[in-house]
Amino acid sequence: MGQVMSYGLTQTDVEELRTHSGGKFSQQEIEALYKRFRSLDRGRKGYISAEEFMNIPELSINPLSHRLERMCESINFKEFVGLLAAFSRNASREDKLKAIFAVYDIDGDGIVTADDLGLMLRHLAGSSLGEENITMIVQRAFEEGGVTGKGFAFDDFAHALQGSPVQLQVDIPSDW
Amino acid sequence: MGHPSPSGGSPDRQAHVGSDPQLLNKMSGSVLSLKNKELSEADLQSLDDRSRKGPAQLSSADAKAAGLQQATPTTILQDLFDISPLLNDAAAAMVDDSFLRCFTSATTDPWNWNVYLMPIWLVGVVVRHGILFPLRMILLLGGFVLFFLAFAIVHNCIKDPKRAQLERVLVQFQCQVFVASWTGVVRYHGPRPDPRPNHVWVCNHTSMIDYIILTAYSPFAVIMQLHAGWIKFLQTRILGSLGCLWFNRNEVKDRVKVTQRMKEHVLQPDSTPLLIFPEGTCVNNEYCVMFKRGAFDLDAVVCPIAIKYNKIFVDAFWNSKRQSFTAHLLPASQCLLYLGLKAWPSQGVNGGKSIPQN
Repeated sequence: MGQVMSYGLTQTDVEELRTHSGGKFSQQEIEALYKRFRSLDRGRKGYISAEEFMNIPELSINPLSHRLERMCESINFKEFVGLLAAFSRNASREDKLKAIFAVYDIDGDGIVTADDLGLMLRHLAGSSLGEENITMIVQRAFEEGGVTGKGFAFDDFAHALQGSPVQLQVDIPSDW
Repeated sequence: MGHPSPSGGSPDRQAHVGSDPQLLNKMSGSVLSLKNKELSEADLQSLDDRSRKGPAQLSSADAKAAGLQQATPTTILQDLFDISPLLNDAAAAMVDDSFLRCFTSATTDPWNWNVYLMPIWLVGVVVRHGILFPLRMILLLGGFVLFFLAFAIVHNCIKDPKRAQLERVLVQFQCQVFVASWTGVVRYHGPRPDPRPNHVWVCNHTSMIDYIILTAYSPFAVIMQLHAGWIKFLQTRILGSLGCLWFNRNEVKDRVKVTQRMKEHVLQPDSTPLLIFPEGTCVNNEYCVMFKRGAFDLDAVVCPIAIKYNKIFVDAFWNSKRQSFTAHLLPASQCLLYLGLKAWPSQGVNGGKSIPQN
């Protein structure tokens, strides 16, 4: 533990981050995440640029990479921890649903509109889904969800995913 | 990526699909099944077939789907919104990825932290820095002087082809001096590389000293990035005689020229065996990074070699983020350099698919 202190993360920082993540990460996990953050952050800038983010090979082949790159552009360590908190084994189902909702809500207004949905479909399905099909599917989705306003609010979203096992869990390796 | 869009096709088919809600359900369900990350040709074909069949033929499948629908009324939405497998993969990659692990240096645990261990360690420091290090430096410098003298004589006084042969022997001698100065203990396994036309040797790369160790065993011509400073002098003047090839990573057109030169070198019957490090960079000796194609595009027989360093005394991995090259060359202050070297018999042309790992 003394080693991490010399990296620049004090005990106060760790406590603050634990609170920020809602107590989802343990002391060791935060320290491990910090080491990981530092290995990703070339040049010790204090944040991870979009380019460094995309340098992770397993991430660049993921269909969500562009959306996540936008979300994670220049994140500092606090945001990094906040983002990954939903993937902790201590996170509740609501936290995980909120994480997925945040990915879908591209413009960040708290509602997944038809535009948001269309954009996400394009990310996910690539070139194999034509424009008309996308509009059709978005329409169907709105009908199915019984949504009348601008789009899906978080409650509609959560209701739609009822019964779906939302498996979002990632173990932080402790040997960094 | 680059699949034909299912919306392309006859207008009849489109109208049919649009008007049949259950078919649309099924279609969007399978299209959106995000468990498959990619639509394959087979998926599109089945969608095509389904849309062409009349309603009667689909009735049994329909009934099943209808039954399913009653049980889970929001199938479309779940398929659409449940990106958790993808998101999970992404988060897992953010937290840990195998590529970065290939470049982490091993952490060294200091063992001198105890009152009993400290005196022993101090004795070790004195012996290593006070006795061994000067001895090694003398050996190394002596070897260098001899080498340079001999090389100058050979280079200027003797003509080809004898000259090339003698220079090769001299370089090998110098590398052996290097290895001795590090008190290198090397265990060799497998057949000794022997020069044959149309053969190329590949090896994993951990440090700049890889080449020195290999040449001490059997002289190789290597293809390397041209560096600056005193290394450049060594590279151009001395290693050039072995037929070593230099390239500049930053020049794109260089690649084609270099490949050409490699091919020529390999085809010559009496050239020094060509060694290539297909990983292209120094890796931490725990893993192998994916090989680059260059070595395997030469249409030559590939002979793999692996070097495994024993980290008990010193970690040979050159973490270029942490050390300059000159700093890296000082394992001379450690007790021993201990490693194993294994060569395999030739793997045949396009043997790149079956290169054994460390």
